[in-house]
Amino acid sequence: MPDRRRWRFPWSLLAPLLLAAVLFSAWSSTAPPGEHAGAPAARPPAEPPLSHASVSTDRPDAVAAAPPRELAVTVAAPAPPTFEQRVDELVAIGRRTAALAEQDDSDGAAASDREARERFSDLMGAFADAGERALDMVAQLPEGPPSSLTNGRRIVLQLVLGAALERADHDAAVAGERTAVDALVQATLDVMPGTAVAAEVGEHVLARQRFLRLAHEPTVLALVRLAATEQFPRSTATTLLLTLWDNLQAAGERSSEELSRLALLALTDADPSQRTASCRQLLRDPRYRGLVLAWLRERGDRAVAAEVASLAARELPVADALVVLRELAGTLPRAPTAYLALAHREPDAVADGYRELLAANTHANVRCDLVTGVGMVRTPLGRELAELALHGDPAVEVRLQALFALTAQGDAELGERALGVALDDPRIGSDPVRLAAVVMALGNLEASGDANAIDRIAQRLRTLPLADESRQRLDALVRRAVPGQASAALR
Amino acid sequence: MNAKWIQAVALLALSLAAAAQDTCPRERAVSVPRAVDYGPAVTCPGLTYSMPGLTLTTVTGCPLFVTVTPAHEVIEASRDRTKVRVVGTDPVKIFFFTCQTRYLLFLPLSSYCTFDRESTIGTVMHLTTMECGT
Repeated sequence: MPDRRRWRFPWSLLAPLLLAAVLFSAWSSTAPPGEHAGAPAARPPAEPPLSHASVSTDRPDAVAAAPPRELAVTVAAPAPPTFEQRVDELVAIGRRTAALAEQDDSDGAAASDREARERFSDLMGAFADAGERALDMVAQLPEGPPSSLTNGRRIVLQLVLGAALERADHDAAVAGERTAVDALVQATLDVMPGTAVAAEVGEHVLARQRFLRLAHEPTVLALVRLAATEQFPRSTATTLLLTLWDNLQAAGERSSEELSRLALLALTDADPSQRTASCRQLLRDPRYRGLVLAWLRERGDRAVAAEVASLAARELPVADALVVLRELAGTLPRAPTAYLALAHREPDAVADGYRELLAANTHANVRCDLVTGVGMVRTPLGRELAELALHGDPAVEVRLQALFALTAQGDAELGERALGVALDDPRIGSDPVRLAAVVMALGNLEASGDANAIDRIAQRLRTLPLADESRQRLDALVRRAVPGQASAALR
Repeated sequence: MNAKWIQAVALLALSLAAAAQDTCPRERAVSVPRAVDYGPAVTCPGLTYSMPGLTLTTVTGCPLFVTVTPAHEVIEASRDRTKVRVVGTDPVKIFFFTCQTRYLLFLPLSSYCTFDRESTIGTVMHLTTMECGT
């Protein structure tokens, strides 16, 4: 009797292969083209590149243009990941790296970070149109409070878009042909008004970079007009316009003279972005600086003066900025933020500016701001300058400013001593308005946690002619800072 | 003639004295809206920091500091015989932030823009305008 088992059709062997073939066939007919065409990471992308026009479409043309594929049932190699999958993989690596860093696993974090760099390099190598694909994903990022995944995607996509712009700009420099990089920049600008996230990502990759050129001027100006109707962030529009003007000059597409003439025409423009760009251009040029300052004085608009002060503190050489800020003092008596920004850049220059004005005994308001700029930061220079002002400045308002700086140094003993010196000054100790400032300066000691110092100064303050508002503020401070003194404060 | 001259001098002296006695500063209180100014930022994920009545946000970058000047009034010259009176004071605050980065990572998902400390850096006044002589 023949052994039936020897002649049975080998279904048990073939069934899994057939099942795999059916599943693979079904998957390949539904998956987007290019996602599994077997391109190794370092080769050009298997997916048809996105055209700029299709950045925010469903790309039906890409599906139609996909070449026919052969089923390779016997080759079960995993399909290369899509662009989106690679982005999410990077997000996952980034989160894992962050977790390792949180756990102080430096070796693990470093290894994970290396993997992130390698995967990022793979992604950029696999997709020649990585920038356009990143823009496509950016346009679809949800608005509202970001989730961990959304935030991770935004960070990765920003990196991809920035790297794609760098790559395209480098290629343009080599080939002497800017069509590709200009198109990617244009696509970025086009996506920006779509969502707040897109505007943010676009600003991140374009602001203060060399990519914006003359070809993009109409679009940048269109964004400025959108900002005028509050359909686009004003600060982003201004930053892009400033970057564009910088690049036009640096690339020789417009001369400094041409830009200054343009700025003169736009100085009186009602649009704040145009006005800011014009002011900056003209303030940079010593020939026009006086003109702008005279225009600002004549205009007498505090808001515009504050805007120019901020601009000068961030953009002008520190010595020039100090001159501009001093000139603006007539219109803008106080500009602490501008001086803080300036002192962040060059604290020594700001400190020298204070010493000069102290020697001349002029511009007391400016001296206040100079002391704020250097003194509010916890550095030896800040402390030294504030002590000089407290003990040596003839203007009582500057002394009060130094008091704020010294009480904010995080040193209760220093703060208490400074408060004592201030209260010894009869111009302060007898004036309820100035005493109100002393009470607020005492509040700065709260962070130091020295309840006794606060209590001692509070007791002295209660003997002085405090306004009702100051007395209430002092009582509230004592209740918070001095344990067990709540009832005493209420008495 | 002499008497008229004396009268004229007396009138002039009286009017000068009256002008000298008019100590009205001819000033008025002008409102200034609240200002929130962001200082220079360092590379870091953005900031969201809330306090009563105000939320500070940046998209990308961590501001080293933010100053908050409350709405207040300042003194301006006036044609009218008015003066200003201080009716209150408010603190000008500075909030310092720092970008906490444990490691300089390629994907900066472990960096956070966090609140560091706050201080009062000055005061602003609340003023009211009133007629001179009141």
